[in-house]
Amino acid sequence: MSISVSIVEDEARIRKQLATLIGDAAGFRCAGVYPSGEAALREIPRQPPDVVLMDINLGGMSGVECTFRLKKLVPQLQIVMLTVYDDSEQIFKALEVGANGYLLKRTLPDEILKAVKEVNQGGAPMSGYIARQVVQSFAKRSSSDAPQLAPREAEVLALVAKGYINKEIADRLGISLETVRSYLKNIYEKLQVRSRTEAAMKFFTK
Amino acid sequence: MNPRRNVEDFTGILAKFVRFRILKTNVREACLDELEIYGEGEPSRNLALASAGAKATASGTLQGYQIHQLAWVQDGLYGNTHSWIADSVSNAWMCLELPSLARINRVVWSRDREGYLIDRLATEYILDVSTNGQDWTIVTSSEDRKPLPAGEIFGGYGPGFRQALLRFAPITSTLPPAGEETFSEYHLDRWQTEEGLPASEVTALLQTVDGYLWVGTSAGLARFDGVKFTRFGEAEGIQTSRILCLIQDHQGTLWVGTDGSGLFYGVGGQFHALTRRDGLPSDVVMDLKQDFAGRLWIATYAGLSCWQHGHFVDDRSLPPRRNEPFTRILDDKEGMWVVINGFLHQVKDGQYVRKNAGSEPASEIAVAALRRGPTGRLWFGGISGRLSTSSNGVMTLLPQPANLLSDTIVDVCETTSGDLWMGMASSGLRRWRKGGVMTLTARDGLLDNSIRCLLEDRERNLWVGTSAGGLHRLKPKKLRTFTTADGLTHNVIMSLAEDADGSLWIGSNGGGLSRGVSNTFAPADLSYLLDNESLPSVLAGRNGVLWLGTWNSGLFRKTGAKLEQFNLSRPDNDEPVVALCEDGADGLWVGTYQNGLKLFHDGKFTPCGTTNGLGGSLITTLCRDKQGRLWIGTGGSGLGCLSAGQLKLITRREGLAGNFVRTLYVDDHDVLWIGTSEGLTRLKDGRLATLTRKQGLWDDIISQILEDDQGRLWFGSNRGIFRLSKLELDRVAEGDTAPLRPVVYGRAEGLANLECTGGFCPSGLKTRDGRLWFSTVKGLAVVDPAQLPADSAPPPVLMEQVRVDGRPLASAANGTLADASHPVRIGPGMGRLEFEYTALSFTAPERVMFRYRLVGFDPGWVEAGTRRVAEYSHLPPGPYEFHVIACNEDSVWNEAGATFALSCLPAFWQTLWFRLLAVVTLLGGAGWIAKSWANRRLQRRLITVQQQHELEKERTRIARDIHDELGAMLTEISFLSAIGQKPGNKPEEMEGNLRRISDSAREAVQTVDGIVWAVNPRNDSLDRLANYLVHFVEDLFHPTPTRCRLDFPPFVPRRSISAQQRHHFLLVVKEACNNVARHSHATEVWVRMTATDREVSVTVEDNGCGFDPKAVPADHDGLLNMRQRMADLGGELELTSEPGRGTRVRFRVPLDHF
Repeated sequence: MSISVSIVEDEARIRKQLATLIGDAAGFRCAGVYPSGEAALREIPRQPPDVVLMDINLGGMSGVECTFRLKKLVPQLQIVMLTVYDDSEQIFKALEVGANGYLLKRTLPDEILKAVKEVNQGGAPMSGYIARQVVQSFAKRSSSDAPQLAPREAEVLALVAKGYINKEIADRLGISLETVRSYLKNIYEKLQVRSRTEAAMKFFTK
Repeated sequence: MNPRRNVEDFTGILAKFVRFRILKTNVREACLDELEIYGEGEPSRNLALASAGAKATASGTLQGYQIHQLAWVQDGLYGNTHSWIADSVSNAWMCLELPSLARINRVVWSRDREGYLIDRLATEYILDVSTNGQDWTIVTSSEDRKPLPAGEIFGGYGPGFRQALLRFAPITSTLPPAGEETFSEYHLDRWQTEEGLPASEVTALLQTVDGYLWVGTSAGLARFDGVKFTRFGEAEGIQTSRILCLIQDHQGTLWVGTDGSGLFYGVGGQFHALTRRDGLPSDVVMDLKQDFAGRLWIATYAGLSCWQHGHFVDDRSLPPRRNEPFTRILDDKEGMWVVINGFLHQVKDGQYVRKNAGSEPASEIAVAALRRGPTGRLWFGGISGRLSTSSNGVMTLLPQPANLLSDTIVDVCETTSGDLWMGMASSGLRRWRKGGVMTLTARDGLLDNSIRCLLEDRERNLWVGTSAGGLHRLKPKKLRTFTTADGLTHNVIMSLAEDADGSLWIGSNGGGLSRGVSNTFAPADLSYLLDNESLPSVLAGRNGVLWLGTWNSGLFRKTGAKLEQFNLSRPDNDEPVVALCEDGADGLWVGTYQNGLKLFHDGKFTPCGTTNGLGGSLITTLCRDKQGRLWIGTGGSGLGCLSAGQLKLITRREGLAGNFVRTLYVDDHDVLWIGTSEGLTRLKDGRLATLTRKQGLWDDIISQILEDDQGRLWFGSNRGIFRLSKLELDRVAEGDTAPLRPVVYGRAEGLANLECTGGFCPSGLKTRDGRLWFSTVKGLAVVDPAQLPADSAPPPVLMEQVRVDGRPLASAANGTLADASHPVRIGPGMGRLEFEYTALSFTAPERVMFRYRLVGFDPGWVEAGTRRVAEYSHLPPGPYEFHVIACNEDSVWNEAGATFALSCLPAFWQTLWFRLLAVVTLLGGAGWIAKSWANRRLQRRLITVQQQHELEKERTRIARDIHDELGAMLTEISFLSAIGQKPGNKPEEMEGNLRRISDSAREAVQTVDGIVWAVNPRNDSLDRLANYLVHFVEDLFHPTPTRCRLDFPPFVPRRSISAQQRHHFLLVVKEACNNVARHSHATEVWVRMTATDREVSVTVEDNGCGFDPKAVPADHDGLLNMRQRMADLGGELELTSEPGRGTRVRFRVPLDHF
């Protein structure tokens, strides 16, 4: 069964190319394209796809806010953020509110498909770059009721931050690839729990 | 109930006794004028009459009055003078015993059938009847009657007064019918409550010595200056009750009689009251007069009083006291005249003697108005509209025109010009002049036909107070406009001429020719050709010839009864003749609309060759001066002068006001006055001087210029007619900067339309009788300068109020302005100072102009225009004198004006010692401030220069980066794409090219990412640099087979780092990593960062092939670039490599450099 992918992107050219890429690729199906966060929020919950490719810099409602709201409505939805330039703050915010990964738009088409596939399989891809910020985030906010990382999770995270890929980590720690993935997933979830209250306040008091 | 007549109808009842029981009255003992009883059988026979056998009895009769006997209630005669008054206020009765039983059904009773008295009215009564004088049956009572309207109780004259009964038939009808003169002689203006009048009923008028007009109304007193009503009320000590009379005594005290609030007197706007408590017989004060002896006579509703030296006079010199309504009084050396109960009396030998107007007994009249005219003649206005006069002790009842309504004369005003004006109770105004009567009513613009009072002011305006229409002003129009209503054929007038007989010939624009003889106009039926013709040029020539220049039919010559037509080119649709002027011999100059100037001689037209220079311009006007030169006005080409066969042209360039000449006038001194569309030019002794609105000319479009016998020029313009003396014109033409002060004649002066017509000749005319005629677009306007009132007196100028910061400092109302001998002192801290002043000219207050000057502050006069307030703010301390002068509509100045002296006191900081101290302090302070300011400025400038320098460097750097990095990649992309398009490419080559394009494009995006990141000021920290490096390195090596190991401390010191430094750092790391990715063939690369408090270092190490650093030339691009950048950062680069042993590059930057 093919992976259904929806695209939320306000730039028409990129939206079209992404739709072509997804539509032409075997095993992928384009479920819908939306030019704005508002449109996505209106349509996606009716018939949720497997994965959403979400531009981070949408006009109107931001990609981060759209992600947050979609996740509220459809928790199982997998969302991958797209960004042209590095904007660590925005990317990290998106991850905090529930995004499952991010891609630079200049990423090669194959890489994009690979990432979508990985996310769909329950993967939580994490780069050293993100891991570094996750480490910082956990270090920064260490209030008592906030979930802390388990020792193994911290270990995995440190390796990711050093540039190791999942397989290398599995080898190095003597655990299976699946376990590495589940550790990463846990790390993301804990990150989201930590940020949820703050995020809620941020978007709903608008 | 109605004082005049109450009809009681009831079902027929048998009666012998009819009793009228009075339970209550509106005031004092009841009075019955007449009581009439009617039976069923004969509805018109009054059974109550004594002559019919009825007998009257009563509870009692007021003693001492011949006119109030019981018998008068059944005498068949009407009026207060034939009435009965009861001797008690309540429970009085009057009973009539009929000679026999009768079946009656109607009783009619009244207080005053003549309708001018409304007091002593039974307001509660019972009418009952009896057959035997013992058993009574009530037939009617006051219960079903509407009460008398409130406010009418003490009105003196009731509403019925105005419709007083016709009692006296006219004796003779010798006068001509009314309406001989039309009202168009006068201009009417009206003031109502909207303009500030306290009430619409104006009851009394007075002009005081200072010039103010005082207006008494039903709601208090106001002072009027022609522009503004100033009310006087409780604050000034006077009640806002209904005013009945106003007088100023010889001492200047203003006396105000009111309806129920007594008498008020005051000087300078503050009033004191005199009431019954002080000894006044009644608080209803009807009239006031001061006699020759200086005694003030006060006519009240209950008797006459006399006041002198601050006391009521009570001695034997006074006539006996009579407790009756005294409505009018008039002092007279022969004996004071008084109107008691409506009847005229004169005081003779200390007694009131009833006076009859005229010799016939029946001519006895009730008088409502009593006035003395300017010649000393007395006027008595009767309630039936008859006027009597008394001169040298002889009283005459004047005859009355037959067709005039009988109406009460409420007030009489004999004007200084001899007109007699009568204010009528219900039929407007009447004017008697030389036996003719003119009426003026609501039809003519009065807002109410019920007149209350009249006054002629010192400028001969007639002021009219009405019952419900406010205040009116009638002023004679200074000029008269004749229109089609007066017999003219058409209202748009062009040219006119006076022939030898004194007849006027008037050419119109499209309506033919009219003829006027002594103000009567009629069409001139000379020829059918002239019927609908336009006649721009009508000229009375030599030998009684009349020339008529027409628009379509050529030229006509009328000699006696003979009329000849001369065509310029064709019989129909001939060339328009617009200007005519006789030459020195027997020729006639003819100016045409399109074909220039022609000379008409011996029945032939000869074109004037020398005037060819005028081109095809239209000739507008022609005139000959004393030297025989012909002046030719043109419409657009200026002014030509034809002299001795030579034509000279004068245009704007030479100084003419405008090139469209509309009219020309040569005066006795051979000065040429040129009216153009852009002003007036005077040509005198060969020099041109132009006057326009800038110099005060009323209008720039001058169509007619006429001179009167007083050396004044009159101008017909597009904004009305105005006049200026030649002296004044000369003065300004010679360069005097004081503006012209034209006297203007507009609609208020009698013009029907302001626009005068011109641009043809002759236009405007001075007739031999000295009158000046102006053609306008609506009729022919005429003014007789000799008949105009001589230049009016300068208007009194008065200070009204001086305000400091909005609060009155001194005002005429409280008398503080009266004493101008001592300057008023104003304390320190005064902000705004306002002087309110006025000038009392009532003919045209809107044309009263002011100039003022604050001596001590203003260097010269300030032209205030019509403004009546001057403002100053923050005057420096010192003595000042405010001086204001004004002129009236005739530009007559009151040069003395009014003054107000004041002195502004200095505040302590305005005193000398304080100022000296302040100067010293200030100088010291200023020096210090200046110095530090200069220093700061220098510093600021340095910083700014530095910042600008930095900014420029940054911009240069960004531009260079974009050019060097992005430029190269994009060039490569375009190059490869171009190759790819060439035919015959091998597929593998194509693939390689495409991959390189893709790589380059991605790298370009990455580069842009880097530049954007570096420029973004949010990333100005070491922490952000670390994050970005991680991101960048991962991104770079991710698609490559080289594994990337990162060793970055989770937390780096918080240091800020500039965009330039970040960018250098990023680029050197990028260069190093690129080298690894491209050349090293390494399987792993380690990127490490260490950050201490002192330095930051980044190491890029690989396990690749390595190289011999010595073999690399020192000027290798990449290496040189990296070293250069590190040098810029103040750091250094360490490179270690060995072939086969990998490469290590280390960048170190001391943190103090960040």
